[in-house]
Amino acid sequence: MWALTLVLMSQAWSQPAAELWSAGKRVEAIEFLSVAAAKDPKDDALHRRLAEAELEVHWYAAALRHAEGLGPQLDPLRALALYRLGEFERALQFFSREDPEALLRRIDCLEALARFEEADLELKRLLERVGEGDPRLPLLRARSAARLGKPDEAQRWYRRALETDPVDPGALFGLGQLLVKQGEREQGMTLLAEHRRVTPLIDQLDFARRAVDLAPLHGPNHASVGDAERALGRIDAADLAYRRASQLARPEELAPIALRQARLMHEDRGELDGAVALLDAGFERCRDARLAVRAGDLLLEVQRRPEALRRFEAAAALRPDDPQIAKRLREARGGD
Amino acid sequence: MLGALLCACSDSDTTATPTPTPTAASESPAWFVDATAESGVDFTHDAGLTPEKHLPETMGAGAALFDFDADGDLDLYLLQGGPMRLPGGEPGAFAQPSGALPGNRLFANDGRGNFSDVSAHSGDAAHTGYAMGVAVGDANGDGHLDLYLTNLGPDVLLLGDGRGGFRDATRESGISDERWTSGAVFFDADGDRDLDLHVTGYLLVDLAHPLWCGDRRPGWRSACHPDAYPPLQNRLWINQGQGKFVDATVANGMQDSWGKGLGVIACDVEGDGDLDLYVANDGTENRLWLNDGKGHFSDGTLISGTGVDGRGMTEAGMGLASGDVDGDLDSELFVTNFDDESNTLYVNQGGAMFEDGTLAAGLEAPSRMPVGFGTVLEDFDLDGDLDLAVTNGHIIDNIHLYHDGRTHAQRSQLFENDGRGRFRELRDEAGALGASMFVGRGLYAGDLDGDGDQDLVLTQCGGPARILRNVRGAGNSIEIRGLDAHTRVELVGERGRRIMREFGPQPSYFGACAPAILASLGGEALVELRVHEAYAPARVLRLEAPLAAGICVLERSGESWRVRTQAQR
Repeated sequence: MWALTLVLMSQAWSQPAAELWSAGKRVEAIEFLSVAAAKDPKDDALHRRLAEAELEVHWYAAALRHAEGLGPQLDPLRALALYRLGEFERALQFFSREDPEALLRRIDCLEALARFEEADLELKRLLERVGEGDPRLPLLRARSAARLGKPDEAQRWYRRALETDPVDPGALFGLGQLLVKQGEREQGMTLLAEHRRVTPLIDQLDFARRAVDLAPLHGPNHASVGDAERALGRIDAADLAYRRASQLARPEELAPIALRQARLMHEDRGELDGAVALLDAGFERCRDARLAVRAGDLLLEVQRRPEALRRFEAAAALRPDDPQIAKRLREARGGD
Repeated sequence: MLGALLCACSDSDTTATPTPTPTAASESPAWFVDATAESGVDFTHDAGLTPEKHLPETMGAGAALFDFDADGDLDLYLLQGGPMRLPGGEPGAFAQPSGALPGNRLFANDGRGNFSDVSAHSGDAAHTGYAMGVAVGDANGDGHLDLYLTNLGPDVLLLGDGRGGFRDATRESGISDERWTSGAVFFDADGDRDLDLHVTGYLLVDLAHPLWCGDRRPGWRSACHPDAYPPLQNRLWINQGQGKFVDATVANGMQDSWGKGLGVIACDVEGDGDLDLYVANDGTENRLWLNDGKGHFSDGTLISGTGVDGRGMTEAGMGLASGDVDGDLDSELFVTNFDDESNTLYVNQGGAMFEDGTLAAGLEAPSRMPVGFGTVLEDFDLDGDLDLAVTNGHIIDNIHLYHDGRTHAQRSQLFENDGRGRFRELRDEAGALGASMFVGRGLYAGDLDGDGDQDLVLTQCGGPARILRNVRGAGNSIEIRGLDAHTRVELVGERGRRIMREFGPQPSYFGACAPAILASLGGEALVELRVHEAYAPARVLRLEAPLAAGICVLERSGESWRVRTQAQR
């Protein structure tokens, strides 16, 4: 995507803007760049950075304005901005026919404009660029085949899509519908029921991703993505999201994130020591007794009493009057 | 199966309202002109905006076009919000603020589209609840139209006296619903000839503990997405006669109806003679409830393909319309949705199965950016097919801060059907419908000025209602009168052309369009009607003489039907 890569550090505007941006003050960074751009309308590098930054915060019209006259190297930016503004016809003038991401968007534009034959041609071009094995292709090919009245071919591609992602809502729904229409009602309904099961989880993921999009440096937003990915059974993706959340979290935000990350490590990966290590590291950062208690609980479950005792003692030092911690201390000491 | 073939009589009775004076619009391509100022409708919706940006502030309100005094023209009922309600005793409960509150308003039509405010003489119709939606029907079977109001807080059943007076009969009706309800429809669920009621529940919001959504900078707080709130269950109220209702939600199979419901439409999607229900849910799967003919419903969503879009994704279903878009004599379903989605046209494939036909209909690209609310499918230009109008408006009043291509007020849209279900957006031709930016919510069709075409009423959230007069289609329509609500009619032309139209009321968003059929056979004169009333055998009614344009009144006496036509309005 369009990261704000401020390479021209010699420019007076670049460092302050970069600092604001990396601190999560994206609007302030843009305001800073805007002021600088107004003072120096001929600084193409500045205008380019400004347009890129605006694109990232969904200020597409502004990005287009600041990209004016900057040459074809900003065509990808123009294409994306126009696409996001719903200007599909104009976006097609700028989307590359070489870049796979741009080709995917070209296909979407053409479908939205009901120009299906052209969309199919772009699909062939995409296939040539990325090869048969690209995981994005099967669903597109399935939909194209279904549109062209080739149900058997569509069925084959839908199944291929589900091999890559068993909870892909488009593939579950498309194949389910197709099977029902082809008379394979029971099998189709099974897929549609699975689609119904995963749909709220997909929605949850979508919602969480939108929150990340709005505030990409807010750790809890990434943790919500992790929750949604985990609910869908995508453990690696969930793990990645939790790690990002943990990196970004402020100390007061960390404990619930570390608890979820440790739960994934323990319950989904079966790695107890990994889970304990995560909880310990989190505890060091935020000194939240819940993390030590949870680590102690995990260790107590496998009868590693001395290690558990150390965690409960650390928790008790923070919350000396907590009866739940006191109970655990007794248990770890062999009292209960 | 087809029932009795009855002869019709033709007469030259011309007691209809005078033809309005043609406007200068004949020189203009515009289909709609703004007639608000001269109509006498001076209504501004008060959303009760607060710094907390409670979600209910963004959702209202609806309106109804109906003939409350049975004088043959369409009157108008507009719903009001007012100050935001206060937190009730528990989450999801609401209390009325103290002091004078603005009420809903009732406007009487003189038959030519001139309205006068009769709220002061309408009894309880000037209700001061924080209103969302309204359903129209004769709930107690006394021959007069009644109203059901959905509110943020207690819903209200208002019984009409046929002269413009309404009485709050909620308590005696057995209906009790104090939640945040949204869409409602009167319909005969069980074929016993009285009107039952379906009410959609929206969200459980806790006004005492408002969520903060959006950026924390001053001025950036925004209303929260519905995903932030739990859903409410829809309710089915069965009429036991004389307007006494019992909650049959669970008993009649709709227990699993928790879905953040907004729009609801009653329509025979299967063509099996009973009325099914389709519910547009906001951000969760829409639901198609199939009727077994006795008022018991089963969830037909999965197999029908109407729960999600063609890519398998849920959308923010809001407004609804049904109609035969592609001319194959069954009903399509059209749902308006949020931005970054499209509105969705579900094309009926028969057997309660649908396909997402949005892309092929040409409706995808024009609807990705706007937030769609009210919508109507009507033959505005009277060329024999159903055109489409949608009013748009964002729910987030500062959306421009988050996306500089989006605005709170948005342009409404008009689409012309090519006769085969492919639409082309009309820009200049939309006239007053598309010329201004509205925070559009409701859009209701009805012949306000009695000139034989469908005009529009547009309601806004926090803005004035607009009267949009159709100046495109006057003069050549065939109007069918005397039908029960939700009846489907096939009109057969002298050269064999057949079209199917539904007698409403259509809900659009949170309201009720006029129950009417104003159709054209594209130049053919009408020779036959095939009437598909719910729970009754179909009837074929042949006209004694072809009717090129005019009014066709169906009169019933027991099982015997008679068609009276008048060639002039």
